[in-house]
Amino acid sequence: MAVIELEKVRREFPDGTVAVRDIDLRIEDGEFVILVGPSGCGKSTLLRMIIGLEDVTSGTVRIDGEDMTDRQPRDRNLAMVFQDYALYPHLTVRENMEFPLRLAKREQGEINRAVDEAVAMLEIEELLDRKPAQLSGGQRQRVAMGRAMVRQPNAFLLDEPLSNLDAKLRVQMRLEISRLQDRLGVTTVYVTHDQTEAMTLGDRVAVMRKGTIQQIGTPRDLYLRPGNLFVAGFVGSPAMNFFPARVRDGRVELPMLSYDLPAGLRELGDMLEQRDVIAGIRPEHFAWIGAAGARDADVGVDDSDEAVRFRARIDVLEWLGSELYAHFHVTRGDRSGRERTSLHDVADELAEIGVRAPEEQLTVARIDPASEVTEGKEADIWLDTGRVHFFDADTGENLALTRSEPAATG
Amino acid sequence: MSSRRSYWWGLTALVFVYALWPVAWIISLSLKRPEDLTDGRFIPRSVSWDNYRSIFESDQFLYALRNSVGIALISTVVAVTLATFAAYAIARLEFPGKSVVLGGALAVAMFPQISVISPIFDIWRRIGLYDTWLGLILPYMTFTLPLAIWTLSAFFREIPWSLEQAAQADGATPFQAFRKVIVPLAAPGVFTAAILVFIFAWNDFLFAISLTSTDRARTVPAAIAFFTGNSQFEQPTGAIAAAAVVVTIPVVVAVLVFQRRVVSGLTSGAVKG
Repeated sequence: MAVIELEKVRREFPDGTVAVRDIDLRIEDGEFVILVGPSGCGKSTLLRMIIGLEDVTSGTVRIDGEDMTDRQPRDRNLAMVFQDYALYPHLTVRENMEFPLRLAKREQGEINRAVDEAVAMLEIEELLDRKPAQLSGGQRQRVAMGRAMVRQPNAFLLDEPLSNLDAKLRVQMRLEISRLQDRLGVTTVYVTHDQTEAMTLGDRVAVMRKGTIQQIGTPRDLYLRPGNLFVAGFVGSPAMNFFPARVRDGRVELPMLSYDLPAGLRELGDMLEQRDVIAGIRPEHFAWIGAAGARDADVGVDDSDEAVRFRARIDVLEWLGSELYAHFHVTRGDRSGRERTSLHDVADELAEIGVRAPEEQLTVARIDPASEVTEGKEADIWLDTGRVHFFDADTGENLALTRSEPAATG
Repeated sequence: MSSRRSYWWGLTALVFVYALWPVAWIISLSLKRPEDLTDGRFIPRSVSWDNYRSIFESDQFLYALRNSVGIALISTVVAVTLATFAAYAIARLEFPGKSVVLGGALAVAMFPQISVISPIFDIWRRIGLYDTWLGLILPYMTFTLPLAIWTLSAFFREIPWSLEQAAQADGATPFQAFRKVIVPLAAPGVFTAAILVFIFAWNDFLFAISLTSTDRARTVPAAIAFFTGNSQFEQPTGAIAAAAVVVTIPVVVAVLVFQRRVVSGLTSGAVKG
């Protein structure tokens, strides 16, 4: 059990690249914290600095209040699970799990007890005498977890532990890790590039980009109140849609429609009007309006004042059984004249994680699977204007977050 | 299919006979009685162990055997130990002059030994290494280290970094991680290097004949050249043949034993998922 504190932690490589930029982070005892971000954002480096495999250029790493910045990994009593599991190929499963205890010079009786306990918890009894080469990916994953558990470390550090598994196994192991962490109650830091893993596992999630933490909060926080364009695009699947937008005389002008600034945002009006903004709309905040004029039941909020409609031609429909995704193009009009610097910055990174830049304007809407929408035909689309996010086109910051906002529903 | 098979068998037999025929002759010679030596028969008329008995009764051969075993083993252990450390550093660390070290090592290995013999002879005479074990161990190590380093660093490079880091995270010191994880995994490489060094030291004739003068340090290949018959009318052929057979046995045994380790190590390694 341990509190992990990072204070202005920085990692510079000899060639001058900065992998981690002065990060402050406090991880509470027993907390499950996820570091998530695209490749090269410094999340793994940060994890390795916590355990001491990577040198800290400047800053302090504290574990339970004790300065560990320059201490060897073995003095920190942290356990790590590696992406490739790093099981010792020349040792059997049992020997692998005993390895940390033998190094700690524990008694044989104690070693047996610890190994048996972990083995029972992970249900790997029948694997004990095998070599890692004879194990499947999922089994290796379990053994790696077991090796981390046996010596009751202060904290678990997991570096993309599921990325080598196939999709089905990944979901299963995700649940298992979550259950295990609940049961052991050990502080856990988990690195992943997969936002679904991050959102489902973590007590808190830190979204990283270019060596900095963009935002840290509960999964719910990140989803409902993304601090900037990057977080907004990264969190959620399918990703948030982005549109160039303008606010004039209390009206929001989007490429496909314009509407009065909702009540909740009116006090922001001046600020919004002074700059170029990017509007972010999640797929579920669109809805289809049927022939009767009633919009489908899929949307929770029915504040009709803040709802507006527009027509769009549906290009592609993706039917997933419980969900239906409609893809449609929005004509841009003349609003996107200026270079959108912040979006330009994040566009490449967002593309890497599957988010389209707003220039392309292919919009995704999640609509009721019962909707009578057909590909190639026009449809009436409804937009929940109360849920539209506004970002500064230059800095990418979420403009609504500059004031305190009451927790939104659902 | 079957013609292809018989073709292969034929080829194998040919290579086998080509390689082993001289060895068979030497064995045959070593088992003949002195009076049968020149009879030209491949199968000895009667088998006699006299030649073996005589070489094991002569101090000259026993000293040579002791020198050979001692010098070859010490050269192997020291060279492989040094090469292991050097190769690990080369595989894992970035340091200035790394390519110079590797290039230099290769240059040493390519150097014709005959061209350094005379200077070494002079230097050894002057500093008292002439006709000593150390006087042979040093050149053997020098000429085998490069190959050992190249072989081992190739093996070390194959071992994922994360294994050492896992060991360190599990509470090992860097040296423990090296000893308990990396060295066992590189065992096939260590054995390969050891076998190469051992064979070089064991078989060497050039250094042994040039840098020794007495039984103090003369190894078997050199000692055989000094075999004489029991009288001036007797040829030492039988004794030479017996000594040649005896000196071959350790190499064959070493190769067979180590080869098994090398192969089993390679197949069970399976570092990658």
